Amino acid sequence: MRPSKLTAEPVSRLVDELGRLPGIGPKSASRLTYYLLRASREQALALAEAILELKERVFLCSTCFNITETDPCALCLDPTRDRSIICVVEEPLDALALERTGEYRGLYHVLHGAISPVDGIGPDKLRIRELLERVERERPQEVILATNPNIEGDATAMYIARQLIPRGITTSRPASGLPVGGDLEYADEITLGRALVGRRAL
Amino acid sequence: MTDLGHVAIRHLELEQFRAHVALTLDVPPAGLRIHGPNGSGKTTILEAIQLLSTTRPRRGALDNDLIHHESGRDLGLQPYARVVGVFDRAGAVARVEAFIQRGVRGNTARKTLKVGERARRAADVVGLIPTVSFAPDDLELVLGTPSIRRRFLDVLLSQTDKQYLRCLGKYAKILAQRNGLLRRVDALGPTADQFVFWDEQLVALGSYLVAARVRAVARLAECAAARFELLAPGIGEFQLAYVSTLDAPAPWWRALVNEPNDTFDAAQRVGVMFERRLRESGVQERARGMTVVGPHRDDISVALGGRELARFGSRGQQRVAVIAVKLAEIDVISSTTSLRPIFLIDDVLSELDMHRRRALLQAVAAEQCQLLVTSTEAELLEDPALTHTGELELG
Repeated sequence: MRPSKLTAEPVSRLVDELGRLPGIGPKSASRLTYYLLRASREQALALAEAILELKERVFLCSTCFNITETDPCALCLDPTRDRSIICVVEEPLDALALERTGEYRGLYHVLHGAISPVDGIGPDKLRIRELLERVERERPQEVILATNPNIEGDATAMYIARQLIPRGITTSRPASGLPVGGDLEYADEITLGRALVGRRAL
Repeated sequence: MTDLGHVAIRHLELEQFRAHVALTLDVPPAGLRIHGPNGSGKTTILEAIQLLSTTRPRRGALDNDLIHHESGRDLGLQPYARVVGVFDRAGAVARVEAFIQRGVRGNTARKTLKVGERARRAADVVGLIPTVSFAPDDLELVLGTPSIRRRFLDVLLSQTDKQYLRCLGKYAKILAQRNGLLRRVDALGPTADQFVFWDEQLVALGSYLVAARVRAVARLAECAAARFELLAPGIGEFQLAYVSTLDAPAPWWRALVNEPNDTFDAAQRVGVMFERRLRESGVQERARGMTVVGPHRDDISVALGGRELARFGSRGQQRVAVIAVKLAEIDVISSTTSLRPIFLIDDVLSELDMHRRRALLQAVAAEQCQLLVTSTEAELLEDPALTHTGELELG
């Protein structure tokens, strides 16, 4: 937003800060700011405290590197989880998405990114060494490589698989293919091709 | 040449597209002669059709450049541009739309494409409306850098081969990542196992590109030689050949054109060669921090009677060569897609003498391609071959 004499400095400061958040443009940032200006002091303080607490109390689990406020995290400690299987994901949000399916009862390992040499991200910048140490320690039966199905995710999955297979660990990659409720005729060729390659017997 | 489907633009709408705030025009089946002074937006009309055909602006331009800078302001919208084309395509009507809107931040622009009323990905739109475009910078096909000839092949093959288009996009990404890895090679740098994935992908995708190009250039060479002979009889055989950094003996390349059943078969053979060359170039590529072999470094040689045309040919011969290649492009597209492409001539007529001009226009008319042609001088467009085309004067 361009500076204006009509805008008090604290207002434009918050607009700028909010505008730096993903998915929020200048318009949304002003709307949120003016909303907060009118909101009760309690509501504004609650938001400020929530943000502070996020930075002060949340850190990474030393086992799975997911975000947590206890170490090890609740999921790593949960006795009902299947400890023979580890699912490797790029980001904490990916683990959350898998959790929501309710289909997965094993443990996670969060890499915090994917291999991308252009951006200077090699295996050493990810939690891959920690994964290999963990696998040696815990000897799971299977490691699921659930990195994203794009070039960088594929590269990461393959790099890890090449380290795990000689160690005698079964590795797998989630099937990619047709969305549930979708129409075959609208699927693009790549998706359809992958779905055919990964087909299952009935 | 009998069962070819006709492709023609029937109706074009430009909204906030470069200098055209609003322009709608109907195009006769034979095509359109467009004249007007410099800066009146002649090229832009052809560029709009090219955008609907290839989903890309003309060479060197970005999507963002297509947007009229003051658009959307009075509506309180982000600046945008829209192009809609209604085409005849092998007896059916196809409506193709491109909408580009500038992002809130930075110099980004979002492009959405529609066929009919349904949104489509770029890869599904390319090839739907085949076009051949002939613009002043095509005159560099002979004299220019290899990248111009590679781009020429890429545009041609993307329109005729879906697999090529897919491999091309992915190859560029893999190459960038692999070069990123090569730049970091030092004492503490990446180990061999970090290359495995990128090498495999580079070879798999690049082999398809090379195989498809070798086979396309062979076909193109045949057609271009015939075209050249008609344009300039008896001055020597016009020769095009694919020159690859995967250097192999000539008979090996010839076999690649004649023996395999399809491009996938051919790509298998190229893959073996590519892998070997990649291994051989290991020291060099680490020293230079880039991948030195592969389709991104290949070229087409252009020769007349065995002598390199760029060095030994006259200016006139070089011009004829470009015309022959452009006409051969019609032949290749027609034979692979069974569609007659739309032919777009932008401003090159003034670069050709009357004799060549006539020959070019007559050849395009003989193929029954719809022809849209621009010129600053209306007189250049007075040609019997253009009798049935409409006229548009911009001012």
